Amino acid sequence: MNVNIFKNTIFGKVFILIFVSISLVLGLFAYQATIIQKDSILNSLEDKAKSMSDSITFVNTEAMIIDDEIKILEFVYDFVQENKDTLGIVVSRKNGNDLVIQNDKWEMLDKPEKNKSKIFIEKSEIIYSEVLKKDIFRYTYPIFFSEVSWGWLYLDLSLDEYYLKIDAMYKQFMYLALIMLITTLVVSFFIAKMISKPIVNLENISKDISNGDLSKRVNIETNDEIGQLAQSFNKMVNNLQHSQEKLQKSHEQLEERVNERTKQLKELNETLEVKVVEEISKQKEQEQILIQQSKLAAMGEMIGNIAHQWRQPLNALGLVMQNIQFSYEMGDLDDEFMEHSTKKVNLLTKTMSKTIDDFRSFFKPNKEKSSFDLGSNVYKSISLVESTLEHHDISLKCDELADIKVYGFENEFSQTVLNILSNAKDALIQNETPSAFVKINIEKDDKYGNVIVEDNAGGIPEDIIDKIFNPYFTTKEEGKGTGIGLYMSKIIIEQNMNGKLEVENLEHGAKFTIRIPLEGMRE
Amino acid sequence: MKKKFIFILLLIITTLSFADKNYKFESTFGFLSSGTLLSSFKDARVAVRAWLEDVSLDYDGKLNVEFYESSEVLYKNLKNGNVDMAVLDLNFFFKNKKDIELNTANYWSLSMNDTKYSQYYLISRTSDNLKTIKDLKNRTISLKEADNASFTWIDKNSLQTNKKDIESILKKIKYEKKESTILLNVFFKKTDFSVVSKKTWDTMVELNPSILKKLTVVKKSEKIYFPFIGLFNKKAAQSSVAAFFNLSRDLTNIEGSEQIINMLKFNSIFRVNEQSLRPLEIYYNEYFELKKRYK
Repeated sequence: MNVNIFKNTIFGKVFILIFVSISLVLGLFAYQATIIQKDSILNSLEDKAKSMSDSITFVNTEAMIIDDEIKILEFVYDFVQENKDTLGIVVSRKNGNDLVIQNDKWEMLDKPEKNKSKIFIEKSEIIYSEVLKKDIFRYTYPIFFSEVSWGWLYLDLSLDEYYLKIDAMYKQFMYLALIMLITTLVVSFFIAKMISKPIVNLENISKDISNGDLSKRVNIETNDEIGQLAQSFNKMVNNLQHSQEKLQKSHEQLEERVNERTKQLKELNETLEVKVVEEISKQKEQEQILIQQSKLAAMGEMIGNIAHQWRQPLNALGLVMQNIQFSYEMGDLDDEFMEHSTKKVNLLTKTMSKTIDDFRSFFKPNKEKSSFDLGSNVYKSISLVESTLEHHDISLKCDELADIKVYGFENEFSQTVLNILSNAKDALIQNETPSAFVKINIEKDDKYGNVIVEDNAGGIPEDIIDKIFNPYFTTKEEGKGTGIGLYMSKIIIEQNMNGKLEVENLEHGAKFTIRIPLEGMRE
Repeated sequence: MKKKFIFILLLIITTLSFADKNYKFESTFGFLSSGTLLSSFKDARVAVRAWLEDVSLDYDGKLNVEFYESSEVLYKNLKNGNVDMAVLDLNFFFKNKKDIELNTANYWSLSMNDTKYSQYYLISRTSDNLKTIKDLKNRTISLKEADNASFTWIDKNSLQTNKKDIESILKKIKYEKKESTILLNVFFKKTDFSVVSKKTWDTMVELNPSILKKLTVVKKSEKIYFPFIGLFNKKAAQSSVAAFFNLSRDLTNIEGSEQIINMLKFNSIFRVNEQSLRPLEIYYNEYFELKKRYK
């Protein structure tokens, strides 16, 4: 028999429960039966003692009446000899001596009447005999003649037979217990099997089902709770199977859809790279176009600015040429005048040439970061647009520009300042702002050198202020703005120079703040 | 006074029966129905007869057991061959010793103790301060019924000391069937004296040591007594006699013998020779002489 079937199983628990219950009942029954049997044996012993006492008294009635101690002694002695179970007999006269007779001796005790019992009732008890050094059965038998008490007979009987019977009884109980134990084991086994079988069956089927075999069903056809449980279980499994079939079907459909979509994605994936490349190419192309546009715009801007810069020297050059022509007509043209005029022309052309060099170097990008003076740089930018602003009646408010050493790409910074100034100029021109001005301040804090450019062009609408740094976003008329300038400026200042380019509206216009890390804060 | 004693038991086998071919032997034993051990117990007589007959049947023989009221009749039947073996009391034997010796042989008796011969004690209560035979006068005595030897002993002592037979000086003689009763009569003050065998005295003292304090041994007899004498007719077949003594020797091995031995309280059967008879013969001759003198 597999011991594991008892280990934490319903069968084992039911078996133990039944076995313990039956054993307990049988144990109690055996215990009770033992007590009853013991009492029965003792009663038997008492009956025997009573019978002996009756016989002794009956035979010795006359001797007792006439106090014939010899006859009593001889009879009782012979009686003790004949009955080996009798360890001793005491014939006690109420008002006389006690004859103590045992198997191998007798004696006469002179016991005063006052020391004798006054109770004349039958009594049996198991007592310890100091003489025999063992337990004995003592039976007290009161003797009456014509309802007059004469004395007592004390019969001391051996408990050997009692113990033998007890031993025999215990042996019988042992055999019976053994048989009952085996029977109980067998009965408990079969009852436990009978009770646990449907549950074990249910459990096995559950295991099969949990392992995925939904075809199994519990075959229990009883009307009890287990039968109902089995029916419910089968119903549950049916539902489960049905659900699983539906799920399987759905799964299969899903799989088909996934396969289809996967196929589409695969196809898409296969063409995606080409499309991305195409899109990137298009994007690059667009960007190139924009950059080109931006360059062209910048170039146009530069040319405009150059034109403004050249306007005065060209006028002066024209005047020099008119003076030369006038002097020639007046005959005042001499060497000194020519030398003076030549020097003046050379100076003017040299100035114009320098203007070109300034713009060229201005738009030449720096390759490495460097320390530069913020005030000087802003001033240089101002100088490039100063003429243009003046041409459009835009006043430039500029306090003394502090010399603040910052660290970054100098030319790119200048372009940013120029871009912001240019945007301010365009806004002022577009809005036809009266008393238009652009105000420039330079200050510093713990980390940055700040260039603040304010105008009074009415500010940037609030709904677009967050979008002005987005690429290709412009409020200018078609063909006048690219939407690249502020985007490029934001990228240059914040990503390339670790600075900040911020915008906010003031009461009358916009305020741009360019923040460039101080020289001491270089990375 | 009855001079018949003793008893007997016995067994065995004798004579092969030529008349009846169904038995290897056939024999007749004669016992006294009074004056012997068997006279005390009717049941004992029946038991002994049945046992002897059964034993003889087991040995393919037939044994007839007969009981006689008087020694004279029994001896007469022994002499004339009606009885092959007879058990007689010592008094009768020594009175007729010469005639008996002419017709009988192969004497035997029972040993009641380990030493074959018995001894008698005259006892009295210590508190009564009775210390001599002379103190028997006007006293009561207990004697064992059917034990002529004890009576003879106390009678001879009375004749020697008091010059009178015991019956004439005593106030009363109380006969009892059991020696223990005789002793208890003195213990419980039923009589003043009693005569018991040493064996009984020792047994009773062993059972109740206080007897030694309460009772006194006034006089002890010589250790020469045995309870009776058994004898065979001289004409009895020697094979039967031999078979008797062989079986007597192996008595304890015979089925049922243990109960008979316990009932009659003897130890063994032994052959009685002339030498062992001699002290008793002197004793009885002196007694017979005293009886004649003080009759």
